[in-house]
Amino acid sequence: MTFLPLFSHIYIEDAAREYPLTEHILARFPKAQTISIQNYKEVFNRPRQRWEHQRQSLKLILAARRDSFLYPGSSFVPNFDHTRFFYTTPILNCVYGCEYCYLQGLLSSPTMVAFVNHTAFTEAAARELSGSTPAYLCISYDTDLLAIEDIFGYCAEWIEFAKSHPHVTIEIRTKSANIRALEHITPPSNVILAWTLSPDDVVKRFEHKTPSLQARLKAIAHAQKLQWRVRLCFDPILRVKEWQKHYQELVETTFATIEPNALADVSLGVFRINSGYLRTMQEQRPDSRLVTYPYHVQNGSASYTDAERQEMITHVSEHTLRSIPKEKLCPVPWQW
Amino acid sequence: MRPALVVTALMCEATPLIDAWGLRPLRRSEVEERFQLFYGDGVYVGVSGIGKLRSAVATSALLAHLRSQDLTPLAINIGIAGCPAGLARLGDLILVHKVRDVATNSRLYPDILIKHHLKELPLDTHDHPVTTPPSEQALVDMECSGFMQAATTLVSPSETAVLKVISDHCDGTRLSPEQVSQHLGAVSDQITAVITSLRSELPAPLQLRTEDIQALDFATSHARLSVTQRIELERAMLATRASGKALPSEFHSILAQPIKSKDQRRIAFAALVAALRGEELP
Repeated sequence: MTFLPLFSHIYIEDAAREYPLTEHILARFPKAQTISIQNYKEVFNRPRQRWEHQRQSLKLILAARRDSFLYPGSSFVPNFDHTRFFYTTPILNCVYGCEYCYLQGLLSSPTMVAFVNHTAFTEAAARELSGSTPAYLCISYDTDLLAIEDIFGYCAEWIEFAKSHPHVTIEIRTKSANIRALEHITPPSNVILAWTLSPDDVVKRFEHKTPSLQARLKAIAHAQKLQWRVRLCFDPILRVKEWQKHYQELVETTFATIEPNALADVSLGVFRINSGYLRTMQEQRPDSRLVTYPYHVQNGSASYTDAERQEMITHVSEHTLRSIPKEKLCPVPWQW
Repeated sequence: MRPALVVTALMCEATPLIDAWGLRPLRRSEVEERFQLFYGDGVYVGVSGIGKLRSAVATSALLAHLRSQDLTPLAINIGIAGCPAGLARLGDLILVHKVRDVATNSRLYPDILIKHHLKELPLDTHDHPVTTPPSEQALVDMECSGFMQAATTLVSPSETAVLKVISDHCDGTRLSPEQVSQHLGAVSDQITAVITSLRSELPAPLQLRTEDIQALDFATSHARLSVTQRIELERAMLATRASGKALPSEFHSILAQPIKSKDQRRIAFAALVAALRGEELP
């Protein structure tokens, strides 16, 4: 191994030093080089960073977020019938390296930024989501929080928040198999663990550094045993060689392993991405056939053609509906 | 292996590296003569002169010069530096992870991605020699911020590195050129190891070949492509090359047709991109 290990260097904003989480994280990485910075953007937003170099040795920035604690949900993702739909970003970037990930087009570096002033996030959420109107909050969109729960503990913090705000449904989206990290928590009914599942072939070729399909399914089965509400996300569905066979196998393997009746629901979505992000990714990754594939661009979104999308959704939903009732199937609305 | 450009402030800093690596002088152009450029086996060593401005000018000029020859070198600053006593020993080779320009308080960060056995420290670049120990726990020099500012306008932070040998403890010691060379010579093996790792592990960005650029130029003028269309076509050509394929034969046959109207241009451009990208699923 020639590259330095994960978080060999930790950049610390001056304003982040006072937080207990900073101390906790530094204790987890006693050999890390620590480097003082005034603002996380002076490292994170440097021009001309090379994503493929930096991914080989991920660094960590500890910062204190000053504003923008909550964002309105994107039209690219389903809101599960909630008009008050938000997401939050306690961490920017992910330890996994999915080749299709939009973060490569959105952010200028794969360096992970962890905002250690967690209370400011939950206080902002309490203000923004006050009242009793149901709200939906996704906390793991620009990262995979469960994968790094052992280090940061953000999931546990947000689950605590959910317990005191029953009208807020919190979704923790993940590809991780790290359910062990939540074993000590009693699952509240307004927290959903949403697992992204892909065929083994896709995991091996495009979802770099992620747990295998089998490991994810095992984690889901364990989560169900622990009484967590679980959502399955066959999303993004990729049009790869022999995609029909791969996705049929995925659905069959999934429902042979886990209990369909205990699922909250199943979400389906064909790969789609902001076309501007895709252009940036194509510059960074000319060697990726998945990224440079000639997607159909329409209204600022790149995906497959309407007919292809329809074919893909129909194929996967048909197989899925053999195991779950129709009311539990939630496709991304614009894909129908 | 990837080419590397090493910039030193003084000839006496460059000499031990030139000797260790068996480099020969290049005198093919004004830039090469002005900055006393040496070359051998993929490594270039240039001498900037003292001060951050000279370092910035030399780094910009030499990087631009090498890039004009289709080279995409790593940019490495090597030289002597002082530090407060107790921070590092005389003769230690240090890898710098933060560079601060004391005059402007601007800060730059070379990425350190590759395993190494050196001590890492921050460095402050001053406008004048530092003859009394500074309060900051950092190395001091007079060039590095200029080098980093210039280098990172042309290459990424992961393609830069700063290596400094501790020459004094900011106590007013004046070193002779021979002493400077001795300091650098004593650590030349360690410097070689770091540079070799960087060169072998950090691939250059994918570039079009000369014949691809000629084909792109022809397509641009013949089909009167817009700037945006040219960029998209270039991206599609890069993807083709990245997959190890040659330009498809349709590429040239599309351009053999006359392209006069806007509609013909649009159709030709779409056909060119489609021919390059293909419909094969990933």
